[in-house]
Amino acid sequence: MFQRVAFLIRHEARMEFRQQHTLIGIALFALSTVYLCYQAFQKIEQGKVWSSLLWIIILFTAFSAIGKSFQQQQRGLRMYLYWNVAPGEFILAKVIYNMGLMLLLGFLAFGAFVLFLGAAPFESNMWVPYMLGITLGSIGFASLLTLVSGIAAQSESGVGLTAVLGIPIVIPLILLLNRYNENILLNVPFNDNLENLGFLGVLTLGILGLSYILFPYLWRD
Amino acid sequence: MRQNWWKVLCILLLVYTLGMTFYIRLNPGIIAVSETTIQPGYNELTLVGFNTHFEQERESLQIFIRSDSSFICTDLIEVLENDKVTFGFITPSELPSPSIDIFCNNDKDGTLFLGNALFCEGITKGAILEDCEVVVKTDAQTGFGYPFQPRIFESIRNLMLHVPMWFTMFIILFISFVSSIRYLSNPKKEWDLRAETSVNVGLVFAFLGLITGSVWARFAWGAWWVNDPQLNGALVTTLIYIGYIVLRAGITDDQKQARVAAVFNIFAYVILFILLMILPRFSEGLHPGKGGNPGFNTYDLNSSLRAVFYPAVLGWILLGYWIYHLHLRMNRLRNKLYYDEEL
Repeated sequence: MFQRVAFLIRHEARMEFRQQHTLIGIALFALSTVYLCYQAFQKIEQGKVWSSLLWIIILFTAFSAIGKSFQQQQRGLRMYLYWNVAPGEFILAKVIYNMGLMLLLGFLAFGAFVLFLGAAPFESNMWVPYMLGITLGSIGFASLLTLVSGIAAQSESGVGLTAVLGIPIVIPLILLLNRYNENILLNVPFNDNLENLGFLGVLTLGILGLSYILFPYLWRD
Repeated sequence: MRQNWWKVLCILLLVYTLGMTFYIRLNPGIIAVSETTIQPGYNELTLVGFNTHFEQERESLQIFIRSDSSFICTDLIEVLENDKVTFGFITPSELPSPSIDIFCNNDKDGTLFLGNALFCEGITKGAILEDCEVVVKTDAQTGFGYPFQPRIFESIRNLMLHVPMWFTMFIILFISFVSSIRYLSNPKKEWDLRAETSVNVGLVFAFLGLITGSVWARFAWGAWWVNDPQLNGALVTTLIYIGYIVLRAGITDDQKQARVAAVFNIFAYVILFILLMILPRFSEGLHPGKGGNPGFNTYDLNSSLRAVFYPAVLGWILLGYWIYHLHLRMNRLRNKLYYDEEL
């Protein structure tokens, strides 16, 4: 099973790199949004504004990156996969691939953000916990939005539906991340903040489990 | 008739509840005092009561003020109206605590209390020299009435309308959740009909809950919308189920529509459960029972509130189920007509 999942992930990555324009397009989207924020704000001193702006950018990057992950498949390929791969393996591969993609994009957005808008609210001990937050947050977004985009792809109303279905569902994740990041920037001791991180992990695991159980029903066609 | 007993029960409960909601009076209480900050020395203040009987019970009326655990006696100056009385007292320059509570007592209203009513400026911390000996002459029972709450006042009646909406919504959406699970394990049109109908009915109750809550929030918290975990949950619930309807509308194939909608419904309900049941327990908010706010189940949900609140919840749940039941029957017929035409 692991071999097949690994193969599917590799396949997914190869597909992505073959049509480089989508990947570059999304990276460009993240970068240009950051630059837009830079033009609007120049330097941001308040931690709250800094953090929320970054997370809004990461969120919308996630929507545009993962929203299309079920859209671009060709019919023939889908039939082929349907006969050869179990749906659980397929969704696992998708989710893991999307996690990698989101980690890449999340840290790209974070790096660009630090580069352009500065890191005024940060003290030296905040970097590691904050990056931990970005890691778990990207993973959480990826796992949640993968299933949602799978659902939305079944509908004929197109890419916009991922946002309609996804934004309300993603709110619990955002609330947790928001609390976690705010605590970091307020210099709350890391041990007191660990609870939020734990919740984030549990929520992500729950979403993964649900995706694994529910995806086979979307798969039949 | 025999199988419809619950509809009769529903009507009876709702008539009882609505009657009691607006008919039962509010127990007396203290709204405010004319000043909120005082200085050491002689102070003369006016106390404003609510549903009180100061004028009728002039003989037995007593007012005490308390700092920490020491009492200071006051002199009544003039009873202006049934809910207005002026009183005077001498504040010593040494008090155990600068924040002062007010007690008011008479034969008809019992003992009324307003915590942290006054703040005393320019005092030094110390014990009071002459502690007033409190001799409460009476301990009247105020009888059957809704408890008086500062800042909530008469709007406590909204408890009987606002809270049952969310209970009803949750029960009905639970029907939808279970129907979706059953649809996935046994794809019959009936389960899909149930899931869809209950989402529609549940959304109606969500909107009613939002409206009644918004009005209450405006009164008690001063804004139509505030940042509070329960409110986030309510909004997310509403948005998710609107999304459910949008999702259904976007799929034309009947079976595919039912299947995809069921998947989304199960996914959404589980996340919603986490959001509404688990997260608010770890965060602060304005709702009763959260972040230092008194819960309605301590002393506030007294016997008279209970006597109306529980029937109200049951009554509204039955009404919700009734609406759902009617809609389901209608949708079954519609579905049947549709297929008969096709055949």
